[in-house]
Amino acid sequence: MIEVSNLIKDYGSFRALSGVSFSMKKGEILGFLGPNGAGKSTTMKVLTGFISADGGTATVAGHDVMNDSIAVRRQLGYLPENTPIYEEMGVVEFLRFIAGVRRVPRGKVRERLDTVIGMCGLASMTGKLIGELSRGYRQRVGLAQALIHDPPILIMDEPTSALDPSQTVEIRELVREIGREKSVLLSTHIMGEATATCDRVIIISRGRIVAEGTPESLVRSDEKRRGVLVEARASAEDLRGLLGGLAGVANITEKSAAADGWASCRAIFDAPATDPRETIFAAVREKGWELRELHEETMTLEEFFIKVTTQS
Amino acid sequence: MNATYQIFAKELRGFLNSPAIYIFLTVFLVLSGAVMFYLRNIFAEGAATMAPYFGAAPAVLLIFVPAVAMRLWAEENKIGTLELLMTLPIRDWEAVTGKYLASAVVVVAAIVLTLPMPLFIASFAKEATPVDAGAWISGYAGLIFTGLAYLAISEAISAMTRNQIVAYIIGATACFVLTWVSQPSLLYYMPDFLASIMGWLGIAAHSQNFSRGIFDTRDFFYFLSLIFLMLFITVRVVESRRWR
Repeated sequence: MIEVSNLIKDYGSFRALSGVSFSMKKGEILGFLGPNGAGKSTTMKVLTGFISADGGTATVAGHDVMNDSIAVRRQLGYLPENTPIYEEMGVVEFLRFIAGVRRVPRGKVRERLDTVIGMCGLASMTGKLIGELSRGYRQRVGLAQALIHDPPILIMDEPTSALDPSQTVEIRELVREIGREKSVLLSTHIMGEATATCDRVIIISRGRIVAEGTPESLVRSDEKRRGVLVEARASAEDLRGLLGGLAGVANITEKSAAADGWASCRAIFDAPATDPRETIFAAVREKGWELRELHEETMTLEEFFIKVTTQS
Repeated sequence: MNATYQIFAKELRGFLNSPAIYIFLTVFLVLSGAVMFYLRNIFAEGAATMAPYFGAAPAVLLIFVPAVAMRLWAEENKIGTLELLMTLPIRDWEAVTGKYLASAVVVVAAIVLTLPMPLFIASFAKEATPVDAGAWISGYAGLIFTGLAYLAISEAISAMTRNQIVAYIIGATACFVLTWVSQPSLLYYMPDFLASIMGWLGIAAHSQNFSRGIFDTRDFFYFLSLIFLMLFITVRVVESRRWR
């Protein structure tokens, strides 16, 4: 649905985007992850036709963003960062205005209004002015506005920033639900958000894409080493001995002493042929020990993010 | 065209729901009345004439019109709603004209609201000094053109800033300068070539023809081109966000 190739944008002498390329498939929830000032918003502003790129090409639903911006915008619902909306307008008045500009057919406006108001949980707020709403509800109005014309593609710039934790969870659930039918591009600097809502994540830093993949694949991508935490009812020496005998073990560290008869160790495997957890389980079962923890310690997305955004 | 209409309707609703605009309107009407009846004592003229009013009314428009226009773009720039607006399927010129037309309704309505004054004056007209209806109509046409020109200038200024107060002050100043560059007392000190340009450029040179009852198509085209030029500049300013 979105094809971006070698996008370049300069703000004066500052290069905000230096050759960003990616694509988004239909029905995908794609997360744009990066520190503040990485170029997430800039990319979205180019895609939505708010600003022009200085180089490269981008198409949305087959339309070029430079030459055919209006056609692109018709295919999009867009929620800009910080949800700028007209505070002096009523909720329904505002949504009707957007529906009018978006050319929702007159006979269908009522139905679309009811749909998005229901979807975004705004039913109790229809009588209010937008300026009277809390952050969370403003965000919902922003979302409702982006959905009123039932667009195939939704672009959201930091949809959960400045929301409290419960509002964040609600908006994330809403995004997931929307993502079942639509292609969604959302940006965030919150790792948990990317893992919780996105099918695929693109990590962007200083105007470049530094990593791309599913949240699971990203944390493993360059990790040939895999660490497993094991806790079994045995003495620490026995557990170390057992783990040390396994194929591909590079390092073993004791995590806690066997105070109550349980010992806990971390084993690092270097490029194991099979899942090390299976190997460990088979070995422990052979000994007849009880096992209460067998857990692969992947690098968290946070750790990975910091790693890829600070190098270079 | 749909987009222009949608913007027009939204902005007009915004004006009608804005308490500030009623304050501006009241001030405009009070000042208009003051200009009509106190600044020059109309009753001492001994004739049912609107000439003093038409001479001074541009100054009242100068105070009023930039206040109507200051919000148009400065507010969008400040709150960031420009990003929402300009990522809707709206072309830049459609937004500019939609906003212009909505505020033009307010300006024209304000001028129309002063109509009881000439009707009042007319009721005093004697047979010796009858009402010159043609001159009055032409004078009002001149006021409307002047107001619409001020509006286009002020909209362009509003697009250049995110601060309404700045938009108001610069807008009013720009209108003032463009009105009075053609003042004979000013032209007198200018070199000939400059004087001939300024004499033609100034708004006053053209609005005065209207208030004297002279309807010249050149004045008409002057106002039309000035308005188009200013709206064009506004479009370019709104567009410039893309390249900054």
